[in-house]
Amino acid sequence: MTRCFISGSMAVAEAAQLAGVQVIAAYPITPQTGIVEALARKVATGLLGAEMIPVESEHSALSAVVGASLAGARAFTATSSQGLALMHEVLPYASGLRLPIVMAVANRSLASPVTIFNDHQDSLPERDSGWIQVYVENAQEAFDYLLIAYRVAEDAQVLLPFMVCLDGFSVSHTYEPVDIPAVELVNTFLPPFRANYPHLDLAEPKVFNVMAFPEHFEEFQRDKHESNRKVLGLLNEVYDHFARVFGRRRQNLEAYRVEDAELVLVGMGSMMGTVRGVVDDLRARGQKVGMVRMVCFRPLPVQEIQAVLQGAGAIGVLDRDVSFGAGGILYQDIARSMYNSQGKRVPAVNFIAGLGGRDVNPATIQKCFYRLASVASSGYITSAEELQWPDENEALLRAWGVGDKHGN
Amino acid sequence: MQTEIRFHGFGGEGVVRASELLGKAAVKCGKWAQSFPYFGTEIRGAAVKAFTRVGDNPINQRCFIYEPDVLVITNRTLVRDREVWQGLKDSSKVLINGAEPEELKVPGQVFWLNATSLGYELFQKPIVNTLLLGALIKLTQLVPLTALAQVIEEEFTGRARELNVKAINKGFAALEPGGGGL
Repeated sequence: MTRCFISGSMAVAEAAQLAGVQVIAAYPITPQTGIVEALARKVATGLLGAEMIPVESEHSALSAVVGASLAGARAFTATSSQGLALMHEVLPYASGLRLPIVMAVANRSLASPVTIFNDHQDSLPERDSGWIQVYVENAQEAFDYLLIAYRVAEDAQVLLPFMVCLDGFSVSHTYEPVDIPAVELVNTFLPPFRANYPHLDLAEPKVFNVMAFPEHFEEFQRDKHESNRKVLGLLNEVYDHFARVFGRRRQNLEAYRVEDAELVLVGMGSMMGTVRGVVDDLRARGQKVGMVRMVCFRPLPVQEIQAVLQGAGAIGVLDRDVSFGAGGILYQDIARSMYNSQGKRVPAVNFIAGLGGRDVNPATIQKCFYRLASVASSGYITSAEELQWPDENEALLRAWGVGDKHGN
Repeated sequence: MQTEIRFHGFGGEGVVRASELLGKAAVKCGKWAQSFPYFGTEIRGAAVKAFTRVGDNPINQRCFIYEPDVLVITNRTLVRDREVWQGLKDSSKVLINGAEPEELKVPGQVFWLNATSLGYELFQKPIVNTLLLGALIKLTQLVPLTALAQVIEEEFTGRARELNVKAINKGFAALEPGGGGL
């Protein structure tokens, strides 16, 4: 094992190489470009014996990868933001055809206005595409999950595509220590690929992507749903194996200092590292706070969410996204998970922050805990308190007349 | 123990690269480090920031550095930018690339290094980042100079390797520990 000082993008490329991906098709877009650049260099210099297909768009990138996977290859792509939006049409083909494709998404918001910076607005709306989705905190986790992704996606119980989401810039462009294992060790966890699903065979021609009429369609959808649900249990088994091989344990969610916590903040991605630091600071001052970092978002680990949040006095959900007119996307899933929980119903507040790269810093997190404490003390929340924007710029909201009349 | 360093410069001055090289040297010495940039779309000459954290333990924070222990300014034009001085503490150390030191009414201890001129001498080009890194090592003792030299030997090839190793030594030697002027 070698400890390297590399970026999240480079960690993903190293993992793709060690996974022995056979076909890569991708189109450059910030902040993902570093991943494909690194892989292109590996292919050009002979370090990686993969077929690199240059394409004219992300729609073509994922289409080429779908074709490669149907031909029986271990295939990889990566994208961000508008690129993922352009893949939207192809995503459910990949899941419906039950292809174990792995894609890295360097998270970046969606236009308009144009931004290159990070939030989860690109991948969260693809939660219903049938793809498995995880959100990582750092480069090591990005590396680890790329290997875990192939292992789970290719399991005969699953055969579904897998999206590994890493925050643009704060993971993709951040250099940090990453332990890279030897290929022999990786092979014991993720053996070289042999397609275990119906794929292209010239001796035995098949038809793929058939049409289903109303009397059959629902069962196809049901099958995707049931297979997706199995991923949670399988992931936990795979984490055991991963820990035995590499000495690190991964989890569907990380519960940090929640045992006796009165206030718990839930969220995803790299900002949760900052939350962990604030939890330690507030704990040192005697405040009973904790954190739950969601890693696996699809499938949604409902029972695990209930288990770690059942003792909380109030729950805050920090969303780096907006479902316009509704609120945070993660909040909806956490609130739904707790609605049928056996414990007593507690207030849940939705915080939206960090949009389009706005820095989520300790002050942001402290504000969340402070407001959560005031809600918890009253025991209930009003509809006005349910959704809060801790880093809103009041002067700008006023100057721009945000929410006022537009046009004449 | 954690040290936070913020670099300010313009695209092309090697701000991001300097931050990465420093982080890599720290990890080579068994420390934990994190290095990341902040810039708009990649444009040479546009304002760039880079952030480095070096510590004895794994680093949790994923946010900008608001109260730097060390501030490095690769282009003196930026000393007029108030944002550059944000969060400076009395205990902070500031390293500025500039020919003639001027008095700045800022907290912290200010050091000047004429890295542009040294860069012309060494590279025949205004390359300043590795010169400033050498000076930064003298100011902070974050890593031994030899560890940084080793990183440069791994990261560069040919003449660039040789000259950049010279540059960190030259920057280290040229910095006057007393404050470099004012």
